[in-house]
Amino acid sequence: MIRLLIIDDSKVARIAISSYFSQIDPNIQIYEANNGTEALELVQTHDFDGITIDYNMPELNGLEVAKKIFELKRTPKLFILTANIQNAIRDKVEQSGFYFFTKPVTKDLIQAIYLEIKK
Amino acid sequence: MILNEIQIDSVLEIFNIAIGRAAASLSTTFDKEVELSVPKILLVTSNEALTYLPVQKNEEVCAVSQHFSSDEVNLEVKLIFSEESSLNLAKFFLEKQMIFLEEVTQLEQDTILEIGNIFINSFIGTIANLSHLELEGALPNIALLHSKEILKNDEKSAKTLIEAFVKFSIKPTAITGFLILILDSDVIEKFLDKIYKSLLGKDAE
Repeated sequence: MIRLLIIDDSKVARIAISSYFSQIDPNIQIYEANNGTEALELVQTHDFDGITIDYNMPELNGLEVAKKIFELKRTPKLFILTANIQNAIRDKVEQSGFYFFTKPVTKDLIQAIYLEIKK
Repeated sequence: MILNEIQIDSVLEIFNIAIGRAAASLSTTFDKEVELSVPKILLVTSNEALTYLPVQKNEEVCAVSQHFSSDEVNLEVKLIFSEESSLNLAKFFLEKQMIFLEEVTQLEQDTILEIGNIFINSFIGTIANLSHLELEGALPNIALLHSKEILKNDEKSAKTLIEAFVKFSIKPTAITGFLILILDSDVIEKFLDKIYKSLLGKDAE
């Protein structure tokens, strides 16, 4: 069973992402965090196969959160999922070795992330 | 300050591309056609700007605002919906996620904020990419306002602004809104110069 963590400060974004993942794989186990601090606590106590991370969040941005998670556990696949489509942000994320996907969230986009997690 | 024809053309061209990209994001979100008006560019004081906005004098509106900055440029983008359109937009979005009426009121503001976040960042990200700027965005915020308060903070400074706005509607619904880009006079020339050079492929010079 796949374990997924969704990190996004928007409840609605978490609902949308979660809803599409559940449609694709009803058995997926989904956890949610609305900021980086909550996420880091969850990562310390749980193992995840994949983590989606919003970029523009209060306190720590998504890239900072991804780097901290990677320092703690190198196993999960980390996906920055953001409305921020700037090339400069994409470059920073990809140079750090993380996946970069842009909102809006659609079923096709979540399917692509799901397939990456399953690889 | 008077903008020349080439400067206005440059801003309109970039604005057109960026708003097209933002509309495409909105269209993908709802799987519906998004119709755009012809963008307008105004160089006005903040007091004058209010009179050009497509709102009734005493209308209640829902506004998502986000501030962006770089070493060279500060700008503000506002996405405005009437109260009725914002509620309908939230309902429309949440129904796609199989969430129905009882939860709409509770989630309305969060939904509009997320839609605004996607729309505004598609728009501004395209401008940043085309003009080779890296713009750092503050967190977006949402407010219910009286129409005359849309540019309230800017009124205090009474600066000259460049204001570009475009109206959009999601077909076949009656949901409409408009987007405003506001630049202070201090940075207009730098911004226009960046845009003009990038359009002509001279940004590396």
